[in-house]
Amino acid sequence: MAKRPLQVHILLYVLLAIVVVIFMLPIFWTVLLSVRPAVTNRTIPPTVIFKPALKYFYYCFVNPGVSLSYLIASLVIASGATALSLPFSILAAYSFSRFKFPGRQFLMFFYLSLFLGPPIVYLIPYFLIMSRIEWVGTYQSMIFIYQTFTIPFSVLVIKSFFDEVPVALEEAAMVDGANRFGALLRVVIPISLPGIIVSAMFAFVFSWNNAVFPLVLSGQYTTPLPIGTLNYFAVAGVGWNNIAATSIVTMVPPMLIFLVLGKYLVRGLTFGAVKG
Amino acid sequence: MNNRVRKAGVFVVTAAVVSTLLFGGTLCQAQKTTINVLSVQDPFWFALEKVVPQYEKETGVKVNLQGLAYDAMHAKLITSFIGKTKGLDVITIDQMWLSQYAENRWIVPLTSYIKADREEVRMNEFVPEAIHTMSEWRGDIYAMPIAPYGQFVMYRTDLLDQTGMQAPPTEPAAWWTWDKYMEYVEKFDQLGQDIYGTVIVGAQPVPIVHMYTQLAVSKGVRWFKQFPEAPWDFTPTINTAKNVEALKYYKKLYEHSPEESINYIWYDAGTAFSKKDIGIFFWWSPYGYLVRQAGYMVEEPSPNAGKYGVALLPFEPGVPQVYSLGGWTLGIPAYSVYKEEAWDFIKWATSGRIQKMMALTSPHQFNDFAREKLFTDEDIIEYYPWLSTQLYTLKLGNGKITRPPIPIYSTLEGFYGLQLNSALAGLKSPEVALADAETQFNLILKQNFYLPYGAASYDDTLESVEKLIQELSP
Amino acid sequence: MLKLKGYFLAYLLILPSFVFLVALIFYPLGFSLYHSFQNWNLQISPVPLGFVGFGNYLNAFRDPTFLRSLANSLKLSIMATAIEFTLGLGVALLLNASLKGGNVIRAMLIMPTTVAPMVAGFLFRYLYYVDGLISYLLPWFGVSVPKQGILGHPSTALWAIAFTDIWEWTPFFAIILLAGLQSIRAEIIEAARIDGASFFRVLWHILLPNLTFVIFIIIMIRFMQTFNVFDIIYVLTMGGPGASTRTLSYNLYYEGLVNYNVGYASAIGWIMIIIIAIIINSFIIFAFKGKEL
Repeated sequence: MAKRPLQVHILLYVLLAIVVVIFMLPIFWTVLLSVRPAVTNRTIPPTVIFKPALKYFYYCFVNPGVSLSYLIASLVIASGATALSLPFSILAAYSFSRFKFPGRQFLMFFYLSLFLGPPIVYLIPYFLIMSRIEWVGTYQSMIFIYQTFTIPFSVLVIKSFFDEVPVALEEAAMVDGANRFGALLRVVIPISLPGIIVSAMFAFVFSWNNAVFPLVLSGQYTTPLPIGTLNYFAVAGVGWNNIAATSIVTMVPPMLIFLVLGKYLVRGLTFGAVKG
Repeated sequence: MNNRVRKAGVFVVTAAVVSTLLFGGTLCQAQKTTINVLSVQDPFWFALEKVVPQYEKETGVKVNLQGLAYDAMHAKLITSFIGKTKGLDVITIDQMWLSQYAENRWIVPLTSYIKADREEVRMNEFVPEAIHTMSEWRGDIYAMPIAPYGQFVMYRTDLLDQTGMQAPPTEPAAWWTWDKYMEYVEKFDQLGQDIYGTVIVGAQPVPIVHMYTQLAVSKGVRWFKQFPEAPWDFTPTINTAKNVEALKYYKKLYEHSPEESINYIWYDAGTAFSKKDIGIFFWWSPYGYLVRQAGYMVEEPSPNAGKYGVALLPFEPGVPQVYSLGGWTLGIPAYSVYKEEAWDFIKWATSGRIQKMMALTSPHQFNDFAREKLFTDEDIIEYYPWLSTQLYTLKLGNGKITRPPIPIYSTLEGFYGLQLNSALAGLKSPEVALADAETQFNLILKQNFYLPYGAASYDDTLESVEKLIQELSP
Repeated sequence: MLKLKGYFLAYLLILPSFVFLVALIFYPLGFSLYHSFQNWNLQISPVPLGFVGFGNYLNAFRDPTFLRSLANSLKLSIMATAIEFTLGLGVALLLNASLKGGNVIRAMLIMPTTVAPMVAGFLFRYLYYVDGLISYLLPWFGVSVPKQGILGHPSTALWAIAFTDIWEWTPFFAIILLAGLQSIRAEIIEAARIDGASFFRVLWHILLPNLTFVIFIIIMIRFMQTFNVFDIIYVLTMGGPGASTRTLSYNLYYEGLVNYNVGYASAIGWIMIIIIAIIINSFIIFAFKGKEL
């Protein structure tokens, strides 16, 4: 690397520090909000020194623990949506990866385009259809509609992992007497298992973070975290500390997952289009 | 790297399994009969929260009392009706929504329930005007009043002394006109830099309509040509000289209010009166006690507690006075699976005994009675000395012409509020704003077969309701 | 004949997911199309009240709120995507400059993107209050906060929404562009440097051309996602004040799931689909000329 003048060096560090502050401050501020005493919530100037307490987490998740049911619902919905998408996605991803059939480009664009459309457009009729069969408020109504993004996403990402498995391995297995399905099961999947898990974890995060579908489809006992948190915005002085505590818990799983996924981040975020 | 991902994958699967088990567990736990009550977080909800443990002790039925802000609760109600979800057993209904819920069969009529329990319910104790405005639609009772609201004037006694003016009356007086009210507002405003003449509510789409319609109806404005007396004619009459004059008057009130009041929602006006220096304003009757506290439903008293008085609304010469009547009732959604238990709860919460208990529980933030005898109860008057004024406004209240509860009320209200707010903000002149509002009204009413009105009208009068009450009394 | 038989398995494997998705999306869309020609308001009647042909569509184009929401969506997407890309590129270049702690910072920087949009809305709503941190800090930079609050004034509300989106997604651009930058072989850059090329020439003539495909993909994805944004509008402003922050999605939500004016909402929905299809197709034709997915 060519030598860099000292001023430029310092400038770069200053810029880096500014960037870090801008992106971390809101999150940090929310962490503070979740442990600060309520009277310091809305002071001018903002209070920075105070005695922190975990009581809001206790209130939200233990007693009376209203957010706990939201947490459970989020887990059930996200896990269910991810699990359901896997069989469908694996089959389709294999097909896209191994066969160059007519219409292949078009179909892949079709799957990609499903993320780019506004969910509200099909949410409204979906809601009305669900209401006719009295499925509004059930887990399955949400798990099914989540497939509109989990399946396309998983197909594209898993396909990009399948692409990295040499065809020769499959051919070797088929020479030994296995058919296509056998090859898929015994060769391709095991080798790309990390990739499938990566895709599943991304799908889990997207499901976990989704708020627009549960806004209308969730019921009394099936409300996930983002929507449940809305209930804390009451007239009687918004319970900001509770909102912050619940939000922190909502943020943790996706953060952990993205941290673990490290080098697969780029592939996942671009829906498999860019290997990174 | 692969190992890390694998481990993470195992963790996720385990979490999923554990959560499913937990979910099963919580489901099993909810087997004890629990009724879900969805309410708005108005003062009665807080008072109810304090007495609900009593209900659980008396009956063994668990009550899940959920309170939400106005818009959120409204949205949740409609969504659950259309989505046919089963999770709600008792709901709170704002005065203007009753007809929509009744006609769409989203709530069940309570008339037969009342007939079966007439001794317990004691319909004859209710103020007939409240029942007429809030509970009755097309000859049936659909909901029981838990907190009816009137509107009256509140003013600062200490600031009044500074102006040397006469105290606004608690009985109807010929001199207390809207012009006189404006005089008072201006005099208060002149008292000092930080002293405002009045405070208004300006937020759109809904809050501004609730305050404005009291002024408008008192000045003789009506929404439609004929309603609720039969035959119903929904030709809009909001673009009239009277309404233009009323809107100009409201704008003038805004000029003497804090600047940010154009975005004030219901409680913001109350907070302003309780914390700042506002001379005089009019608003829903609960504010009679709400302005005593430093914050909404907080124990600490406000700086202006003890320094204010309650009076009647001014009137417009030549126009018969009408008071806005609003507030909340309790109803049973059609999809509830606990209708009997819901009815038991409604009877209990609206009974004289429990309403008195709610009023006497600290911090004494509830006096929105529907049963007349509670207004003359000595124990209660001790905490809320203006009860007789409040009863007076209730007995002359008519919510059915102030905010006509027709099924598309909410849609019309949205347009109305938007235009009123635009006029207040100076984006349009009052004439243009009201003309636009009426055009929109016409469009909506025509599209939804209100103009001309095809269905049968019901002659909805106070007399017919009084008769109904008699039939349902013990 | 043999060729098609070979592909039979290919189609068979795609079939389950394809059928599932078609059922989940196209059936509701068809339902919506059918009802877009009717007058149906669920708050008035549980059944449609008659056919109105293209009436709903015409009403949409005459409706100032709808047109405003279209303008807002376009404004927001263009503003936000442009700023996110530029800032993201800047951050990527910064991180690429092998500064100490760069890797740790890269891991930290992903945090805003992991936050659910609705949760980001909660965070920022608190910050945008009149007594919130942002309102407190802005005057230090010479920006005056309107009396009604940042979210209460039409001129600042849309910017506030944009800023929340930018905060959340700039790291997205940064991380992907960084990966792209790091994939360019160092020798090429060294060679250019030795030849005396300045920083910006290197950027413009070497770095960016190599990343064209990646750039198109992420710009397209983010542009469309911001165009469809809903969560943060719902939490921050509910489309207000007035209609100044109403986007197409929020407007559709309001008409369909608040007013329950199903017929009209269906028409708006289909207009949106057509607009989006046009935009996406333009993007794809432009970006994927001759490229394979």
